Amino acid sequence: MASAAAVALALTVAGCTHQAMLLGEPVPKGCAAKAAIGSERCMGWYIDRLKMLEHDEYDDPELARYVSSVGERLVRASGDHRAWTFRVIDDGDPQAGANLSPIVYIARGALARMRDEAELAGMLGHEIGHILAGHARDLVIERNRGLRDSTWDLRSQRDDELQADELAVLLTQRAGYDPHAVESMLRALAAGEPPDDPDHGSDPHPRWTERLARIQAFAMHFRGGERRAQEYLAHIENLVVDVDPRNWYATDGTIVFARVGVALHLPDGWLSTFATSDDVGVNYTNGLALHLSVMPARGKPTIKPNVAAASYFETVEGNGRLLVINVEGFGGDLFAKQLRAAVRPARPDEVAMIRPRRIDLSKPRTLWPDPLPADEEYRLFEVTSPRQ
Amino acid sequence: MRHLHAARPLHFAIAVKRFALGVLGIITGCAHHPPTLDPHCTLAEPVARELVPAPIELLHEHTIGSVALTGADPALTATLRHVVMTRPGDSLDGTTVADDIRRLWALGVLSDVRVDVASSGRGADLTFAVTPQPIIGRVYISGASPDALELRRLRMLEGTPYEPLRVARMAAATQTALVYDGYLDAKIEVQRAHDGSGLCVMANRGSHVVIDKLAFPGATSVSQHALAARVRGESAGINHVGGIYDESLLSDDKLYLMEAFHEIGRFGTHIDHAKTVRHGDRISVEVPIHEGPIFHLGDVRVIEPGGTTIPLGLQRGDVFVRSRVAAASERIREHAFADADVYPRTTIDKDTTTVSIAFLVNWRWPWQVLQLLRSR
Repeated sequence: MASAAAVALALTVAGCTHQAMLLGEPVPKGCAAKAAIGSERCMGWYIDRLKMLEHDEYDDPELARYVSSVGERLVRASGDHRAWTFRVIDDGDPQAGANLSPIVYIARGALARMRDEAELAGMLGHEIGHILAGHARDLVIERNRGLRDSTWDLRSQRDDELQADELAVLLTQRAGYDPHAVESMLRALAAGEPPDDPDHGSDPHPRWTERLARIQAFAMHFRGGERRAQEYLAHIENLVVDVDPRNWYATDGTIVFARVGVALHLPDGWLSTFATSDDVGVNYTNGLALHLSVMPARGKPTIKPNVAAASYFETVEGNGRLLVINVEGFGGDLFAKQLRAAVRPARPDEVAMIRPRRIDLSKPRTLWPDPLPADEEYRLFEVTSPRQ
Repeated sequence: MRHLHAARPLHFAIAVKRFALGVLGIITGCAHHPPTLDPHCTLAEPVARELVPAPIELLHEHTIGSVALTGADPALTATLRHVVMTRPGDSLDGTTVADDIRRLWALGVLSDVRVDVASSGRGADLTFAVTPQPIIGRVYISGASPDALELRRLRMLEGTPYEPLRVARMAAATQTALVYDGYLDAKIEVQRAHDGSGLCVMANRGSHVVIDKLAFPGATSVSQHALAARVRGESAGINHVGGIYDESLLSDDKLYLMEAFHEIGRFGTHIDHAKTVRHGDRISVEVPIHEGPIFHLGDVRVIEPGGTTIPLGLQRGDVFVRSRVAAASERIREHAFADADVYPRTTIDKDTTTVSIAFLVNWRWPWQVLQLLRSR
């Protein structure tokens, strides 16, 4: 999927006599049709369309409404009068993100780590804080101006994260939530991560110790507020966790893409499958690398071969989604066509056996700095070929 | 009780931060629109101030009886305790205590740390008395609308902890952004309110300065219009007449301007840095051009192991034309026996005003291996 996003930089715009189209959708009035330029609204729309090629929205409208209601409560407390969008993303990673226009993303993997509405508010408040303070907007503009390195060093990025944490405390408190929930939210998100790395590499986030100390120091000025644990738990009791096998499911050399309604039996010669929630990678004995991913069908214009990099694509469409077959390596174009021809409709019995894993709220939650239990760690799947 | 004067690192750090803010907090004054200051800001306390580091005196040869931490709530105290390495039963060691203070300070949540030492029957009782950062109660904005988009980052500081470095960074970033948006005289000054109630932001955008003339003196072989068309940013209103001036972007564009001269064989052309003349809210921009002589092609050859003959479309004596050389490179790549990279290597002879070109062909893996075998 990452390669698809990279290819997206060379977007083609479908012609339309009345309104320009981009990625299968009409470009908003007043916005350029080719790139993320112009007003915050236009740039935000463009970034949102690209972002939503990477992941679907999580299929639970009631949960989406609930998350939006919490977000709106925070926005009202901030005094901002714009129309905000809160998207629950179908991604098992504990992540959230902010657009530069008022759009906030939260992955179902992050929702699985929270235990009350105040913690959810803390997480949304952090992302709202990034948007209100213009962090993402400035990042994009500075990059466009080639100033990114000189005016936005790592220290500044980390300070932005600290400010977003502090704004999360402020917004939750103003909205009537317990601002101390921001601390437990951070501890839940950090669960399983190693104790502080003193060097900390190039991560734009500050060390957990520093983040927590800052939050504690700020939150000590406030008392009280709602947690609303029961309401929150009622909304996530059926939440899908980890990799959703309906996106892809590998069994005995066959990968079933239930949501696209197709299956692909891998030919002889595959060595291993290396997969995340939205991308399956396969190595072949002949030096080729295969990536299989699923994206919304509207993303088809972004799929283009890169002959110079020996990267070739074939696609199969079904149920409004696109199975993208990407083969890298010399001769990859022929192999991609061969695989495309081997794709068949998924059998009902194959689809019926695929069940996603649901959250188990009876298990105690792990908070940083304790490690996650082994079965809760974020996993990459590696399956060695039985033919080896 | 005796104070342990171990505050030098702390005060040093404060001094550094406040100096930085003083420098970055930039200059007051507005020639056109003197800001009307909020009453909280009229006697504003300068953020940068003189601090005199205290000498370190230590109580040696004492065993530590107890270590306490005061001034923070239980949650923060628990976190702060993690970074304090001084333990009861240890010998009192000034270095360890100083390191503790540094680590506490490095968390960025405290505006002051003091270590008090008292003697008791157990030995020396140490108390780390900490003061968390104050909260910025209000952000008083003068000289601009409080709702101005460019002041958003400073406005969002309201209600959050006072962090001098952050305040300085945002003041500098806001000013830089205004300058890049064409407000070349923009000044953003930030001070603490005299009563400690918040921050005073004095913003002066100044005039919006636009380009009234863009010229390329010295250019005769390429039209002024053609050169202007090669400068990027027209659609974004940058570096064109009526738009704003971006010096760094225009400097990068010298490459594109040079390309126009390489397209007509003027290989030795030199382009100077842009010169500007400011008059009020207008700025004239000139990019001096020193055209070089016309260069012709010298030797043209292809270094390719296969030895295949490829029609290049280039001949000795032709005027050097950059796009034709690029097209020849592409032609070689297409005709190459295998997937290959093609690098045109040029040798310039200023005396004869000729450019010789050797197209170097590198086969990509796995054909590289075949190439090696063949060369044996």
